[in-house]
Amino acid sequence: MSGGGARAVAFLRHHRPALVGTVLVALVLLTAAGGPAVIPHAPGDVFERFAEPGGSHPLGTDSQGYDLLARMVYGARTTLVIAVASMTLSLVLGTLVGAVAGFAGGVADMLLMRGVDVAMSFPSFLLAMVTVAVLGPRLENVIVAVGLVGAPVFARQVRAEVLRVVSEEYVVAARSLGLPATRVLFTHVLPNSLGPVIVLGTLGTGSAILSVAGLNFLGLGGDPYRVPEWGLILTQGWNKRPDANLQVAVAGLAIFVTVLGFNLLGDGLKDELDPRTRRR
Amino acid sequence: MRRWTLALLLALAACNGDSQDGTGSGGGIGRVDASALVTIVTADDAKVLDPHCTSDGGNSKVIHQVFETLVRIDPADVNRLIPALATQWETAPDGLAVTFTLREGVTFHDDAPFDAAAAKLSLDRLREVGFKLSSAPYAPEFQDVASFDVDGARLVMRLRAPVARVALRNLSMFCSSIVSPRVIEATRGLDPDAATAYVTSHPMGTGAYRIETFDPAAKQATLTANDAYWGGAPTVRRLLFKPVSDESMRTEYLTKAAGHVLVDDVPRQHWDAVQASGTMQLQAWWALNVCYLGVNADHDATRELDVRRAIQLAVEREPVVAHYDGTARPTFGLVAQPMAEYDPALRPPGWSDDPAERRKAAAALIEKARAEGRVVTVYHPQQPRPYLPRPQDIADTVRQQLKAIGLDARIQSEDKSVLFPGVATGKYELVLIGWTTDNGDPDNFYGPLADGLDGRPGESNTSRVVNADVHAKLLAARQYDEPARRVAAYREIERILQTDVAGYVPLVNTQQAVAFSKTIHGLEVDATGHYRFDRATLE
Repeated sequence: MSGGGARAVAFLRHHRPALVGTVLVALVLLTAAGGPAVIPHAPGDVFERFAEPGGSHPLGTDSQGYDLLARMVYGARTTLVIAVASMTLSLVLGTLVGAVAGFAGGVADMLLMRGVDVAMSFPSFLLAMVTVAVLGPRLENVIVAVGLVGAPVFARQVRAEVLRVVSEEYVVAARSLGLPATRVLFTHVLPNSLGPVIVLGTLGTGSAILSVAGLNFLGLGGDPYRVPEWGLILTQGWNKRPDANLQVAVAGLAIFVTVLGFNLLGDGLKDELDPRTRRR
Repeated sequence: MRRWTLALLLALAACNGDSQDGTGSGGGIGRVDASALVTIVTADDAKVLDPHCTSDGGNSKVIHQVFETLVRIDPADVNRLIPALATQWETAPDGLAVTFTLREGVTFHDDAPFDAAAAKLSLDRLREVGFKLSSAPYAPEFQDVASFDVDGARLVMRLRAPVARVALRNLSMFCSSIVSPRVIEATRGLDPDAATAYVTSHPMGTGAYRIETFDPAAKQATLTANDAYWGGAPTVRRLLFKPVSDESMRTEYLTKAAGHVLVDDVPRQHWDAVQASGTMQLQAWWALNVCYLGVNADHDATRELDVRRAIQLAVEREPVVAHYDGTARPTFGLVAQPMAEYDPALRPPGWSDDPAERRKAAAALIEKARAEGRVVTVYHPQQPRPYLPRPQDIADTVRQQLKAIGLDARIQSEDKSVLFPGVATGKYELVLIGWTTDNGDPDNFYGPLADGLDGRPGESNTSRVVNADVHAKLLAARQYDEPARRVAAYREIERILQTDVAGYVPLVNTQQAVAFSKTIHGLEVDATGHYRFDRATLE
């Protein structure tokens, strides 16, 4: 464990972008976790509409009289939870499909991967929009849509890794010992194929945040006042410019910083964990 | 960036228009004297020009220029009807018949003469008497009419009950347009959809403009002046209807368009720009509408009268009005505020002028009904409506107010294609919705919104109950023609509804606006939002 920690510190020391990314992500996580304890208001408290920034409203209030700081801080939670949930859905679904395709091969591989090809031939954001439009404009459905649309990338990556790993000697050994296929897959193949997946997951979290915010900005996230979410806060402000210029700027900046953080961190992890880049 | 994209799109749209005109039959707009052309930019496009088969606003804008009705709403006074194809009308002493004297020497665009038989044919078709229509949205409005009879040169409307006032009002709606009898006769034997298509492709009315080109696929209609118009040949020679559904694209026409332009349904945020522009002028008026919170008396969440009365007291108008940027005013009755029947003094039972007292009284009612913490959901249309420009924000404001009296209020948006039918099935306990009248009669509010047939609520009645007393009084009120009596009757109905049913909370009455070039003079816009160019002149 301490060896891993030392390795992480060494990695961050020589990889500046990853350091910046880590700091940004940590900042956002800290805000989401600890922010609600230090801010003066709850996101549902109602005050005067469009109050100027200052006093107990450092960022002012919005068109509904809600404290913008409170909504941004609680919004960090929602945004992160939705992004991580959809990313997890992509990861689990994609890993399953990719692992089965790569491990089973033959007809199953062909069918599954042609399905993945079809899914990837659509522009992913458009596909997500269509999915939410069909399911109905709700935050839950945004998670499902972003999760489904993100899965094919994972499936492809995992399949490639599985194909590489199955020909390794320890897998051949496990097979020749007569272990059942599922055990070989889950104890020997998958754990050794997941490095690149973690990289993809980190990078994907950034783009998931962007997709979620985008879908919510387009009004596909449903009721903007049920829970505060950055994309929804941005839309609400966008329709009320110039009264809500600050709201647009703050929400936009928060999304930008978070996505940048995850992308920098993901890039760093890629350099560190991806076997192809590491060997260079 | 956005501006450039818009500019590019506009340029493309313009190119598209040119090529169409170049290849079209009747000569291009580009080649016609542009000084006599007015471009009308609307939100919705026209698809059907058969006035008897549609209730769509986009269609009605074009239909209004091409077809005429027997009577018309006075643009200067919504409570008055003025002659159109009928020069005068007289109600029989028993109130069961109205005799119309018709304008002489009027011909349709296909040269067929206008007479009583022609009027009867159209009015029968609209009511599906002797015809089967693809859709007859206004036929139920005419259920009190027994028949239209030709009496020499005159037309007699016979009624089942003495409801002449409402029946006359209904004849001012665009659905009551008179279509050339030659066209109608040609549709006999066609199936309903084909008949509508035939009328749409042969739109022969008596109006000041005739259709020159109309292609629903191209979403554009050009109209040319009818020189044989009974009111005299119009000075404005041509009208071009150009639907632009995107709001920001539409408002580009406010500042960028050349020539004479009219832009329909201008959103509030552009009013100042129009007034400052120097080339455009704005005409805004209090529309004949109401935005209200429907409260379902036949739903578990709002079944107790105390709960509904509490909601009546809890919802404050001022915070709702704040969302309209000065284009709305608080309203306390279901009927549109500009109408004489609106009672400015009426307040719901338990009212106090102090908002804090009202909230306290409402909270006490909730406590009495043991409804603290009860989950209630305010449903609202996802898309903005003319009376509801920011549905989510306004719904959320209503939610805040309900929360303040102890209810666990939520909001939920629904597509309007789901919401409106949902109202009819009584699915929603609370629904944020509104109504705009087509004919300016109070019966057109209370009939659809608070009444029903055989004790069953009508499909737009959000309270989902029919109060027997209200029903009887509405039947009686339809028969009152004398203004003072009529006003008193509807104000009494409103009072009973607020006291005994508490099935809605009227919120606001809103303004509507059109913008047009300062070079257009004498344009008539009536309170229902319809405009007429026949007496307009251009600089």
